[in-house]
Amino acid sequence: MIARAAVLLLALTGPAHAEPLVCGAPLSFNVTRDQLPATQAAITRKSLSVLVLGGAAATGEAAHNPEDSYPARIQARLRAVLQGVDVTVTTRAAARRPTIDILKSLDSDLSTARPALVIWGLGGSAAARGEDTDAFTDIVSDVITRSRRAGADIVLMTMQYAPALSHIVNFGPYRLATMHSGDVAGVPVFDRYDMMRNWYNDGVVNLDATGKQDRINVARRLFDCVAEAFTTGLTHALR
Amino acid sequence: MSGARGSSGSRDYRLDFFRGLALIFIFVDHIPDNVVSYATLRMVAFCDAAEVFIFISGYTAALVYSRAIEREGAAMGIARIYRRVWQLYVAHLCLFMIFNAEVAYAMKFLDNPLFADELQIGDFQTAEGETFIRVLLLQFQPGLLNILPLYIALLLILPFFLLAMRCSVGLTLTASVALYVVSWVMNWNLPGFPHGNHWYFNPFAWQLLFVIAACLGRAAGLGRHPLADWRWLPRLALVIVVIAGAIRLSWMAHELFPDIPLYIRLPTAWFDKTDLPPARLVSMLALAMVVAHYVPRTARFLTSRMGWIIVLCGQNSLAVFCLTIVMDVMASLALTLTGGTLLSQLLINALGIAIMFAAGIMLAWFKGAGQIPVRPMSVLAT
Repeated sequence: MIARAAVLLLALTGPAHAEPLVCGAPLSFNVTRDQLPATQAAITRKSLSVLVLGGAAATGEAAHNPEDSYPARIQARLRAVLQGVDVTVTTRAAARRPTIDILKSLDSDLSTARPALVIWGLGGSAAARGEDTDAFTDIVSDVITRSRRAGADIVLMTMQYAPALSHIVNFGPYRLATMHSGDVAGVPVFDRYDMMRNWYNDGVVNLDATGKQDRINVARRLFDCVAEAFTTGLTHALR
Repeated sequence: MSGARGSSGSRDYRLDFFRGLALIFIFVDHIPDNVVSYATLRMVAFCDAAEVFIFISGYTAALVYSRAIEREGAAMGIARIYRRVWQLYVAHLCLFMIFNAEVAYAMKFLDNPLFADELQIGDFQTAEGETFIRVLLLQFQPGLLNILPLYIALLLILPFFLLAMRCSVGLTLTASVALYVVSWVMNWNLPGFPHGNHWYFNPFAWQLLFVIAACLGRAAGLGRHPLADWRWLPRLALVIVVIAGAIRLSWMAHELFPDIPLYIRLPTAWFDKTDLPPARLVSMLALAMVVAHYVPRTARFLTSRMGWIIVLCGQNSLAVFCLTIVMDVMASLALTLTGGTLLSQLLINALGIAIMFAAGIMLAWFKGAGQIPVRPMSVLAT
């Protein structure tokens, strides 16, 4: 037990903490150590597999480079922090997909990637499609159950904040349903929507950019901010 | 809707006041990412302003139109209801045009690949013919445009319920409860658009609240007090209101300060607005009972300077309601343009409420043929 804790401690006191946070503290990611038993065990075993499920944002297409997607950035940042741990991040994502479609391939994705940690970014496509919130909530609890049955911790990630859209697409109910589902199941929720809104208001990311190259740069910066906030929150919880 | 008079003949300003207040809450709650919305009813009750609005609308509609039916005959009374339905329908179509303009504006930002998942909301603008038919059929209900269709649907069926109540109030209520239960068991709802969607406010469920309110309103109009014998009812209602308020506040505390643990966990389906689950219905009815019993008709705040302006807003509810929806769209737009800072949120809320007040006063002045209804000073005290 003490040896395990020592390994964890060693693994988590990497050089990353010396660097200041580029995008600000991850205030909207409330995660505690006891919510991540599988992740802790995997770090102790020095082999951490992470599975990212999501929509358009997880594919990273807006960044025009797979290395700049947020799953890839999470992998890079986790590797930097968890030195000596073999970190692999796998992504299973598709744009404009109904939420229910995730269930089609979930079990096979889980058995292929064998993740200790699942990160699921959800709600954006559900809000755009106007899905039934009850059905949405049921799918979320189903995914939580299946992930846990497969021996993985899971973190829910709310949809992206989109300044021009948040007043037309009714994001609120899906974001709240995601947060409530997390609360009810004791699953941490990474409130990406809230963080992106703050980054937007603070001028960290200019989501209104219209130039083609500007947009690519903004997407790259945004995905790195997401990865930074996620990695920081996760390692703080595990410390 | 005018003439909300109680059995004694003097107008019950509580109806006007709380409907006016509900309209303010509806305005505030429908501005996304709005800090002021933490100060509205939904934070201290399982229901929100939508339930209050539908309850008071059902109550006053029954009170007014059942009298019209008694006075002018069933045909004329029903004609008056359907004239109202037509007004609401026209208002709904007007609001849709404004919404469409906002989407057209936002399309400029929509082509950003970063928001690929949300791109499909612009899809309806490329399928206009179909969409316009769905709007006319009340099936396409984007964003804020889902409350008026419910109100229209409820007013459409009101004549049947009013006529049924003349035969038997008990049977009418039984039928309404049966429809509520059956629609829940059978998963009934009206179809929406795009295909696969349904009405945000399920009329098969919400009719129960409207019909209960209509029964109470009709009884009040006839000078009856059907619940007077159950003396324990107000105290039970008070207990329910306090418990719901405590639970809701504990959730808000957790939402605002994640460090505060979530003490009470309840399934989200219990509070899903679409099907008006029993928790929301009971919360609303308890609230109505508490207000009816513990807030006297002569309460001073009703005729205070500020209270009276809210009363005037409540007395002109359709116009003020439509105004709030238009202003919600405008406020959203303004917040987008100003970056949604705290100061701009506060200013936009204040400005919107000020415009609502001005509209309430102006409409009252117009209805009074150039005279604003005078605040009663001593009438209520007698």
